Amino acid sequence: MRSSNAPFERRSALAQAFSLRLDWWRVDWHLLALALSLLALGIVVVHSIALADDALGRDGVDFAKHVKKIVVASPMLLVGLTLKPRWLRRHAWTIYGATIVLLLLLPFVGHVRNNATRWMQLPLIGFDLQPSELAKLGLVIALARVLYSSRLERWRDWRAPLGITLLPLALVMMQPDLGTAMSMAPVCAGMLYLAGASGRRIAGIALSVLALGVLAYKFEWLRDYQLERVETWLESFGASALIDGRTGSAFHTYHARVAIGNGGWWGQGLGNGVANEAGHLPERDCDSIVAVIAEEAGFVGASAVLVLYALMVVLLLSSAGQIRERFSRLVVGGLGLHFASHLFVNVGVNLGLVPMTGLPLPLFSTGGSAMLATFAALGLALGLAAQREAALDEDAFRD
Amino acid sequence: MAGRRIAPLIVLVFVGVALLLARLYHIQIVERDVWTSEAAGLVRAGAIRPYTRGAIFDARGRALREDRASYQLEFVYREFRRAHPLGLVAHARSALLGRNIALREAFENLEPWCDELLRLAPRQLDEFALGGPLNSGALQVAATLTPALEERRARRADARYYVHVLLALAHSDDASFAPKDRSQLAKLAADNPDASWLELAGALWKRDVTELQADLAARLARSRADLQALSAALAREAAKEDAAAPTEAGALDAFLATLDAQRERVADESASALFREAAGFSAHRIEPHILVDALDLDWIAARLAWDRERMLAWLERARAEYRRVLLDAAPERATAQLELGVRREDPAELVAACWAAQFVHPAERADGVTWREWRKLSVLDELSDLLVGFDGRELPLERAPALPFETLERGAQAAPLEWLGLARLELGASAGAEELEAAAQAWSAAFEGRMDREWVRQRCADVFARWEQELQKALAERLAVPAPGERWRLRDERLEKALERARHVLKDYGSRPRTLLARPSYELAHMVARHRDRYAGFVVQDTRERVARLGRDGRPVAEALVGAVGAPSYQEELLAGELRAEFFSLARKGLRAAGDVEELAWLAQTLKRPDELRGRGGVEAYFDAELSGRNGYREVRGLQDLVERSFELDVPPIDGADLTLTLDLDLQEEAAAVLAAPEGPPDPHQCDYAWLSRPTGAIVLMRVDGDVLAAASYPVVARDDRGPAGIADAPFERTLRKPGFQPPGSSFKPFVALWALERVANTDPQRVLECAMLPDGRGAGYVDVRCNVHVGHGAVDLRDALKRSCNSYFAMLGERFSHADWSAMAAEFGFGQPTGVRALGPRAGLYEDSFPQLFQRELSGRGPRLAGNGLSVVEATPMQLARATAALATGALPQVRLVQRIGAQDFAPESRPIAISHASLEFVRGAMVACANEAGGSARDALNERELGFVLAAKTGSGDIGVERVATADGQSRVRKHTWLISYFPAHEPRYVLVVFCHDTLQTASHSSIWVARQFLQRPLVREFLAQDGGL
Repeated sequence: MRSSNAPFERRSALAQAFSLRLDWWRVDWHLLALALSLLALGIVVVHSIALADDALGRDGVDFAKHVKKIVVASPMLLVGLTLKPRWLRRHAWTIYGATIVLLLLLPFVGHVRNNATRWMQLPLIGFDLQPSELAKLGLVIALARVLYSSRLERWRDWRAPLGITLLPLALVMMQPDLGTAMSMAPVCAGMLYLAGASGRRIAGIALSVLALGVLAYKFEWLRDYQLERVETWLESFGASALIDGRTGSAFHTYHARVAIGNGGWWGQGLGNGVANEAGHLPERDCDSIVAVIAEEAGFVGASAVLVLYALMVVLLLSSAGQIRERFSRLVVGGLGLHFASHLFVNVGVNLGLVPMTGLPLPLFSTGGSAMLATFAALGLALGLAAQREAALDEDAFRD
Repeated sequence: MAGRRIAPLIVLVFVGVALLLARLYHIQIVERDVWTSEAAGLVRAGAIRPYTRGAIFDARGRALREDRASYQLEFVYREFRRAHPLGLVAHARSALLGRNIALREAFENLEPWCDELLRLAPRQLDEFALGGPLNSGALQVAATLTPALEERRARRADARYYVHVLLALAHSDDASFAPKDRSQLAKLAADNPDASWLELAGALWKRDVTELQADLAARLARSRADLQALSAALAREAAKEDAAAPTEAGALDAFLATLDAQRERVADESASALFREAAGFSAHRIEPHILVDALDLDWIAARLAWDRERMLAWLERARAEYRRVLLDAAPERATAQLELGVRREDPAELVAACWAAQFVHPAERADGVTWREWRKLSVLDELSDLLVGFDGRELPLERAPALPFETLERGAQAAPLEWLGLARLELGASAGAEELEAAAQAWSAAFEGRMDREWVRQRCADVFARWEQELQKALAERLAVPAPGERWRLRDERLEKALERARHVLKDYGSRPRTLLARPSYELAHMVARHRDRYAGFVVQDTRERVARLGRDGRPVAEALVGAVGAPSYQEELLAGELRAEFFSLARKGLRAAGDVEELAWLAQTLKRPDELRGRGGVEAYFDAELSGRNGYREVRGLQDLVERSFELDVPPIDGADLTLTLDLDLQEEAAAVLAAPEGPPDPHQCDYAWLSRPTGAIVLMRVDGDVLAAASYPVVARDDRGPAGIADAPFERTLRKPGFQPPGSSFKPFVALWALERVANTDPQRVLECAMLPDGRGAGYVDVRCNVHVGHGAVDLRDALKRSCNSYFAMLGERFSHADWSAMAAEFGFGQPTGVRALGPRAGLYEDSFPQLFQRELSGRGPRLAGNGLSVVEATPMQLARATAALATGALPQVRLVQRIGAQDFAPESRPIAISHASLEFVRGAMVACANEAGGSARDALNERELGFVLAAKTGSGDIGVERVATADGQSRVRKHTWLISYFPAHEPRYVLVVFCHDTLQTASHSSIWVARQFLQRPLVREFLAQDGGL
């Protein structure tokens, strides 16, 4: 009797989580097409990088591996697309908790690469898992869950969202992974705003944090290497100072700047340019892929990519704006902010507007975990927007 | 609500994108030129294309020196460690035990230790990483409570890697290990954590464990045999070079010790690099005992698994190397700098600057900053930025002056230093006034005219040693710790940075190839190159080298005359510095202006490479410009060039010109062989054993047109024993040089006779002089010149005097020469003048001694009488005498020619007729023929026609070179002398000139030089040459 019930129970659980009777006509195909176009562009760029490495006999980027990661990660698009909003809301804490557990496990089971403990080996998926990438999604879902029932009207309402943001942020900082941490803060701020928090209050907090940073720098409250990093960043605005420091701490910034600057109006052409030919630019298939794009496609091409990317973010935010159900709207809006924060931090780092730190550009960079998170995020955004969950909360009757 | 909240965010996105685009525009469009230029510099890869130095051939086209492709056996420790079974087992065990295991020990226990490793299970290693114990046979590691401190995780990872490679469970050059295999292995390990690696490998490869073990045992046995074969081959090669090299029996021990030494060297260099990274200065700058007592170096010890003894050994070695540089290379460099600036108005300032530069922080020596403005000393002034002490205490910034120059007036406007000031700087404040005055005078004298290089170098070395001692004293005081055991620590952030780089540093130094053997035999090279998989870590590398033809004595033919090549001197490097900087600046320059490429090509061709060998002495140095070619330069730009193998700039190298000498290899070899083992007269009582047992001398064989066929000198290496006169003679080129006082003795007489007959009024060759006993009864002679025959020659005319070498007659003749006669005669026969071998004018190398002023002196008193006999007041080199003899034989003074062709350009023989009548020449020639062929002739015993088979005209000569008498084996006491023979042959139709010079003999030419000449002329190869050349 028990054995005959078990499949039924499993089907039931799946049915609770996933909605296979999705209204496909409601899916925002423009957004999906735009995202897939950007993904295709990324594939082309990575292919050109791999070709250059291959031609020069460098032990560099493996295109097949990149394609494999995309293939492995792509089902996450469908998973996200079909996930029921109600199930997601109900299990938001479980998802968040799972990502926190993964982050907590890292010091014990993770392995060190580039002096950071960010990865754990998962043989089945063919690449090392970076839990912080999943934590970003977990954070968006958990924030949406908290803010679903809170309008942040009192100061004490802020404690829960700030707390659930600070926990993964702190764990990620400890890895250390400044880039990921930097991408979490604006997502949190944006979602607080979306949930109804006062813009002035958020701006005030942001300005206070900024002022604190300036004071910390001025009065040397930071550690030496942190000070050095900030100084390198400030000096990197001047071309000659950056060139002078090219063999030291400004190595990465210098090579990113050279690659971008070498692009000119129209670029050097696919596969050409100093980034591929010299091969000095670190992480050119991942964190600095935008420098390769800027060099090979020039100002015109790179601007087009940035505009398209921004358009995708705008479509995501607009899509969120059309959702009546508060939780789904917050998740989709948060995911829009997630893509936006990656765009600004990643491109800002490569352009020298932000201190050097590593953060992938979703849909372009080669990281497997980022790809997994990106497909899941995209699927969720499209799915939650398409499923139009009925809502009777007060937000549903506004606008 | 939603729309109200979304819209501002969208606006923010647009603002952000606008900001990004503005910045993008600034970099890509506004700053474009800057970054394009930088990019061009980055993608451009340039390489110097070395030329081939010209070869040096003998007259018959046989190479004496040439550049030849060669190879050397190199050892790459990292490859050995990661791929050779011995390296794998030794390092796996070292990693697990946390101490270095010697290769010798690992070699002896290869199989059991390997077995212990393979029987380890993943779980055991995991527990070991967490601090648990490890037990596998004799491999026992105790548990620890501080696994992190003992780096257990890293050690586990290392050991696991070595085990994987042993079982071919990791990707390597020789074995592919697919990702799916890796996944499967991980799964197997996860499912069976207690299974050994051997069992896991068996399960993975689906093979029986015993089979795997058998395979592995065979592999270990083969690697053991291969190492033994390699060590034996290396021992055989070493034995060829050095008889004291280990025999084949001890070869393996020596070989493993060499490999262990290489391993230690890698670790030493890595430790030095890590320390430099963490401290900013090198560990060797502080005495080891100060460093170990004052500074916390546990972090290096932990990283490299070292104990205190090993740490001290590293520091001692590094310090010893630094001291060698400080006392040897640094003074040499300072001297080179001083030589370049010797013409400056304030040389004392320059000396002081050179001294100070050795001790100040490199950043102080910026362009435009004078040494008086230098403030920070190396190491001493860096410590306060680097160290933190116990309870957070920091080093004070201020300190007392440590080195003497710090007490001088500072600033750019300080009064220039005089020699006295320099002496004070050198000797310190405790020196007395007289001592200072003497030192100042010595410095002044050393810089007068040509700088006294060696003296200056030695003084610089003394100062460096003294100042270094002062610096160490100051360091010891500054780093003093309040209690034993307390130590200064390097700042955490610096340590973290250094440790982050540790793995890369170890990889870097371990990957550097070290030469095990230059020029291995073909068999050895083939053995290693053919079986690369079996000799992991050993590489045969192509090189080029300058090869010298070796003579029968195993040394390069005509070593001193042809010279050798060597690395550039400090001075050459200093001079090249500016141009080289310009070259690199242009090579790096992104966007090049018009003319830059041409200048770059010109610089590439003009500049010498730092590793380029230059002529060091002899022909190699003198014709260095011709032998050296011009380097080429090749530049690729971008991927397209690299892939298509096309070049943006390609300046081909121009090889150096070949030189064809006039020397004949066979004759040169024979001359060298004769000098090395000369034979004396057949009558043993006549032998000059002192000279024969320790011969020193030269032979010149020349065509009468000036072409040198052989020019040999002996000895060619320094002899550590001293001669009968207690003098150790340095190896020297003696055909062109005059290492000491070198009178030609009676071999000068034919030229005196010729000049007297031709230019001195009333010279009657028939006039007879009575060579009789002098009034003092101590022998025959003329006035105050003693004749070589004790009782005198009796009545002699000029012919007799020449034939019998009568000193009395030529003393009388010399008296009749005016001052003008001496100088004119010397000029006519080329005495005291360059012979012409340096045909291209003044250059370095192929030095010859010319001394025209010697023959321009006013001779008075005894002088003319001695000069008439070639004694005391006149000197000559063998080449000058050979040239003058050629003039005597032919009536024309030739320019001596050592090189007949440079590349395609021939040098024609040149000569000028001498202003001596045929009659006079014939008279003297007749006397010289008589000297070798008539009874009473001084050369007759050895060089008469019956002995030689042809008629030779000769004149012997002996010239005293000292006054003290030396006791000989036969109980006599004699004066040290040179003996000479000048000759030409065949006498009726002169074609060759032969000059023999014997240095430091105790008897006359009849006992040495004439027999050396005979020995040479009777050598089969010489006879064969003369016969083929049509000379006889």
